[in-house]
Amino acid sequence: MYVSKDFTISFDKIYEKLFPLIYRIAYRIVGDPGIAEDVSQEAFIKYYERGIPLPDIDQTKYWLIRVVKNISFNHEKKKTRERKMFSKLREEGPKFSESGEKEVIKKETKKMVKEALLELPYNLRVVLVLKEYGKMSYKEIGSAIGISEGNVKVRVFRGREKLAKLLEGRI
Amino acid sequence: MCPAYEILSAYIDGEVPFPWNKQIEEHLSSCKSCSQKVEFYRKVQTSMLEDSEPDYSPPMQRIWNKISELKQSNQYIKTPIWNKKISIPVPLVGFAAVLVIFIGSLLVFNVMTSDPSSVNIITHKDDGSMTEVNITAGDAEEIQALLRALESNNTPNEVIIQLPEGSTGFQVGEPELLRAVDFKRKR
Repeated sequence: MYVSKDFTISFDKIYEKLFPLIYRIAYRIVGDPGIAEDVSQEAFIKYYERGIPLPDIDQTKYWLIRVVKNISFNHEKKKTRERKMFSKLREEGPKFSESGEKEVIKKETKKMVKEALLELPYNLRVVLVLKEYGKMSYKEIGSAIGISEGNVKVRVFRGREKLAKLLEGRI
Repeated sequence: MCPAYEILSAYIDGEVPFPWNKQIEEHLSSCKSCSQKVEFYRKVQTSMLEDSEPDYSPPMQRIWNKISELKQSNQYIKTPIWNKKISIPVPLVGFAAVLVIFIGSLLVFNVMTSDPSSVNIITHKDDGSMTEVNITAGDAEEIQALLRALESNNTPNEVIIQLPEGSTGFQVGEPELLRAVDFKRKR
């Protein structure tokens, strides 16, 4: 493999700056730290092997997000099958903490939010994750995943509505 | 009339531009169902953000190590020196340009005003007599005098041009013998 030294230097900076965000987005899309690590690794290696820097940090961010989205989709298909099989085994009992019942309820709600997010259809989840956890504007999300701003607006709304329905009466 | 929920969702994301966002704000203060909807969307948003995440540092380090291995197997292509990008700050370029112009003009000025060295021209005649003329380069009168001296005498056999000591000369083109007629035509 041939990668220029200049690219390697710029890669190091990009890795430092974008890794936390990319990992966070991957984690929220796939819902599992281990898979999120695999997805992030694959995305950054793909970028490194590309060997050509992109014009600016934003373009690099969008590129990585697109790759994460595509790789996660493969995991998603696999996961949907596994989820159906092992959903009961993966359920964990509530953990009681010293601060009492209130803390437990809060923890349960959080877990519920995470689970509910994973229940969302993939296309809505990705957009909502980029909005809430990526802190991106509709315009940025549109550029990153190649859809119109209007489409982003619709997907965020639908995702939020679905999530709200799943959480209704619990938050 | 109540706005569509889709607009309320965009509103909490700050994606509704002025002045429509102000209109929604006004509407929310008077419409209970809409303000409840916005409140609920905000609640969903807050609960999403409250959910803790795994620490990114350990995977960041692990992946970094893996990529470092890749880097070690990588053979760098050395950028040739003529392809290297050099960046010079604009003020420095400006300063350098000013310096070049200054030194250049100084040199030109020096050449124009430099003290011309004198040149000795000695003509030998057939009868053995010798005329020595000392001229200063650039002095039209003295050159005229020399030309007159050369013309007034019959063609001398030998003309020696003695340059001042230490002066260096350079050759331009090949020495060439021309017939007078060709020479005139070329002119």
